[in-house]
This record gives sequence, structure tokens and C-alpha cells, in this order.
Amino acid sequence: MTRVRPGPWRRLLGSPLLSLGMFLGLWEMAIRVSGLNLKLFPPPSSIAAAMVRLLGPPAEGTTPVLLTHLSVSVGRLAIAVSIATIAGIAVGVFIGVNRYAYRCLHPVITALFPIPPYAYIPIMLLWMGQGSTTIVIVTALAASLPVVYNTAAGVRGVDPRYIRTLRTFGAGGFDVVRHVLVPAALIGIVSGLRLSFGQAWRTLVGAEFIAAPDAGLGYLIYSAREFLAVDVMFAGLMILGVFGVLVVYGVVGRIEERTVVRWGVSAKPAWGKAAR
Amino acid sequence: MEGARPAFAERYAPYLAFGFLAAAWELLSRRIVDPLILPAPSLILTTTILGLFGVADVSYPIARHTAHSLVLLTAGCLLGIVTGIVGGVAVGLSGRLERLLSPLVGFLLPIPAIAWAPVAMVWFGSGARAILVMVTYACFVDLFYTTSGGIRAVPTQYVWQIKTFGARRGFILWHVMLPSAFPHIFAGIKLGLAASWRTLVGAEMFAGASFGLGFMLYEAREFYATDVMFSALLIVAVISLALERVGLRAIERRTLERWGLARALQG
Repeated sequence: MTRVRPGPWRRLLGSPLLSLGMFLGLWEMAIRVSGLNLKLFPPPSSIAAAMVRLLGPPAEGTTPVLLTHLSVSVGRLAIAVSIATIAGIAVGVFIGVNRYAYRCLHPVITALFPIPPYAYIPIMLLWMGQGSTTIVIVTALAASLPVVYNTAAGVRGVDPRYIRTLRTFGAGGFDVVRHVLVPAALIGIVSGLRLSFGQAWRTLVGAEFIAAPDAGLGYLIYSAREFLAVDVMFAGLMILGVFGVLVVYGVVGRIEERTVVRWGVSAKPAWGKAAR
Repeated sequence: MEGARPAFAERYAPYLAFGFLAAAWELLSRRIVDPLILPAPSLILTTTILGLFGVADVSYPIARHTAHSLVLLTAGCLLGIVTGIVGGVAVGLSGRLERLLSPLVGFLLPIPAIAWAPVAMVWFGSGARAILVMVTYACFVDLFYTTSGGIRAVPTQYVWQIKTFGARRGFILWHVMLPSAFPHIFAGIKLGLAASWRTLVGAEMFAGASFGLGFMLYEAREFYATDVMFSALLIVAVISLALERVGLRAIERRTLERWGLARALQG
């Protein structure tokens, strides 16, 4: 099963760039030859054209359409994940420290965990109406559960001797939280961030489908349906994929490298599964 | 941080807390908040029970929506698992196929399955067909990814050893590679089932369904039937838990633990 090192020609044949090119060529040809409706089944060339169109400004001096939608979505994601992280750590520490809170809330968290976050969208829509508030709340809710869960687990795993030692030296409750409990939970939180971001990313898209009044990547993709503009959908999906990878490997990967990997708790994250 | 035995108060704290919470909620929605905004727990339970077991013409047909969702979930998952394993094995075995497909897979993986809803609606027509395709896809991707990884991770010595005994390729695949990759495949089934389920609930909202729990949530909002929405959420929650707890644990116990592979899963 050991492979002989391939020659240069073979290497070119096996390179991902070429296989991607071949794939795109086949796709283009298959659609052109079969005479399918180009609008409904766009070949790569029309998707590229749609991408260029969306990247250009609609009028002199305005922002390109795609950038507007992307920046709105990213803003919502950033706010939601920030809220989720801060609130999640607070709730997690509380659950981890207080045994009554643990007994009462841990089953609730475990029960909420597997529920598809999309199910909250209609209810939030009823309470808050369309708009960024609804989208951010649902996304934050989806992103917070892994943080709460991991923080609580990390805090509960702390050796009580550490806390007692700190207490002996006269540390207050806040010092214990700041210097022992949160650092202990940080390992779990950081590894949970990947899950959190993935969950937030797809919830955001789903929420933007029906709760976004006029902007966001989800809105862009979903509203293209009215014009049967499948090329625009594909352009939006590509941005979604590229940005998902950027968020997960750029942001989460950087955080992991700075913390968990440097502390030697976990190996360098494998270039593996992304935010889906 | 825990004592040897939970004290009496600690043991019964959750029940007390839940009782208190339910009573407070009930009071809140009966006296203060409009029940159209927040229906009382008693109303939600009544709606759920009537809808599940009641007369179909009078109460909301919850049972029918639930059945519709479960049928689509089962069909989509089975299709996704089978195609995912077959595709994953093919790609795991063939280096050439892997090199050909890996850029495509790398492009598809980070896109949430739910984001394909508009495309699926245009291509397959809105409703059950689009939803089935999306649910299948959500499950397929996970199985494809984990299975191909599992097949590639099969220790080469196993294959060499069985080859020295003169085994044929089909035999090796069936008796060596698949069992060895099973922990990966099982992890994929777990992931895929969760992905299918959430995609189903989302797709029933976004992909123009006319049945299903997601549709029920979506439609009830338009009629301000808040009790129906919460009862749909309740059923979604119960099914989510059941899928995770009962179904998967049982399979895990029958297969992985009996075969002594449970530890391999964690590695």
C-alpha cells in the first residue's frame, strides 16, 4: 500500500487544482450539451458572472451588494457569538459552582442541546417581529449552549484543593472565579467554540431566511428564489462556504493555537471538518 | 465539589424548582401576559394531547404532522446512510477518486445543509421532495466524510495479513475494512442523524412544506395559534431527546460496546 512517489506529470494530474478545473469543465459541458435551462441549472460560468455582478457596486459610489449582505451577516454573527460567550460563561460558572443550580439546570441544558435551533425562529418572530433582534437572539441561543455546557463541566472538574488553597490566602469569591474556575473551564470553552460557531453560522442563515427584512447572506440566497436566480443562490452559497471556513479556521483556529495548543492540552487541530 | 450523598433538599430541588416555575408561568399567562404571546403550560399540554389523540376534525392534527416528519426523517436518513457509506467506501479505497472529489467535498462541507433550501426548491419543487433531498444530503455528507476517513484509517497490517491467507477484495472489505472502520461510521451516523433532524425541522419551515412539525410551527404563527407552536416545540424537543438517548444508545450498546470498540471511538 506504500505509494511510489509520482512523477511530475502524475503529480499535475493529481493536483487538486486540476481536478477542480476538470470538475468545473465537466459541469459546464454537461449543462451546455444537455440543453437544460441555464437559468435554473447554472453552469460555472454563469455563477462566476453572478459573482462578478454582485461584487460590483449597483450604482456609482455605493457599496457592492454582496459586501453589504456579508457585512450585515458577519455583524449579526459577531454580536450573537459575543453575547453567547459572555452569558454562556457566566451561566456555566454559576451552574458549575452551585450544586442546586447544577441539579436544576443541568438536565434542562442537556434536554435543550439536541433541539434544532431553527425551531425557536417562529416563536422569536412572534415575540420580536422581523429584524436583527430576532436573528441575533436565536443565533446567540444556539451558540450559547455548548459554552454553558463546557464551562459547567470545566468548573466542576476543578480540584477543590485549588479553591481551598486560594481561600486560605484570603482570596474572595470573584478571585476564585477569575483565577481558577474560568481558566480551568477555558480549555472546554475553546474546544466548544468550534461547535458554537458552526451552530451559530447555520442558525444565522436559517433565521435570515425568514426573519431578515432586507439584508444578510441568508436573505440574499432566499430572496433569489423569487426570481429563480439560481446563479445568485450559488454565488451566495459559495461566499457562505468560504466565509464559514474563514471563521472556523481563521478565528477559532487562531484562538485554539493561542490557548489550548500553546498550553499543551490538545494537539494542533487537524485540518478537518468545518462549520457545517 | 460533591458530597457523598446528595442531601434531601438537594435531591428534590429540581422538582421543586420545576413545580414553582410551571406554577409561575401558568399564573403569568393567566393573569398578566396575553396568552397569545405566552400560552399557559396547561393549555400547551391540552393542545398537545388533544392533537395527538383527539378527534382530527376538532383539534389541530398534530399526530399527522408528527408522523409526516418522522416518515421523511426515516427515509432521508436511511438513504443518506446507505449512499454515504457506499460513497465513503469508494473514496476511501480509491486514491484517484479521492483526489478528484476532495476539492468538491472541501467546498461543500462548510456550507450548512439548510442553506440549500432555495436551490432544492427550484430544482425539486417545493415541499416533500425538496425536503427529502435536503435531509438525505445532510445525512450523506456526514457519513461520506467519516466513512472515507475510517476506511483510510484501517491499519495496513490487517489487510496484508488477511491477504497472505489469500482473501479476496470483497472478503477484505466486508470482514476487515468495514468492521475496522465501524467506530468512524457509527460516529457519522450519530452526526448524520442529528444533522438530518435539524435540517428536516428547518426545511419544513423554509422549503414550502404543507405538512410536518416545522411547517406546523411556521403556519401556527400566521394564525397566532401560539399554543400550537409551543406544542410543536414540545414534540420537537421530545423527539430530539429520544433520537439522542434511546435510539443511539441502544444501537451503541448492541454494536460498539459488545464488540469492544467503544474505546476506539474516543481515540
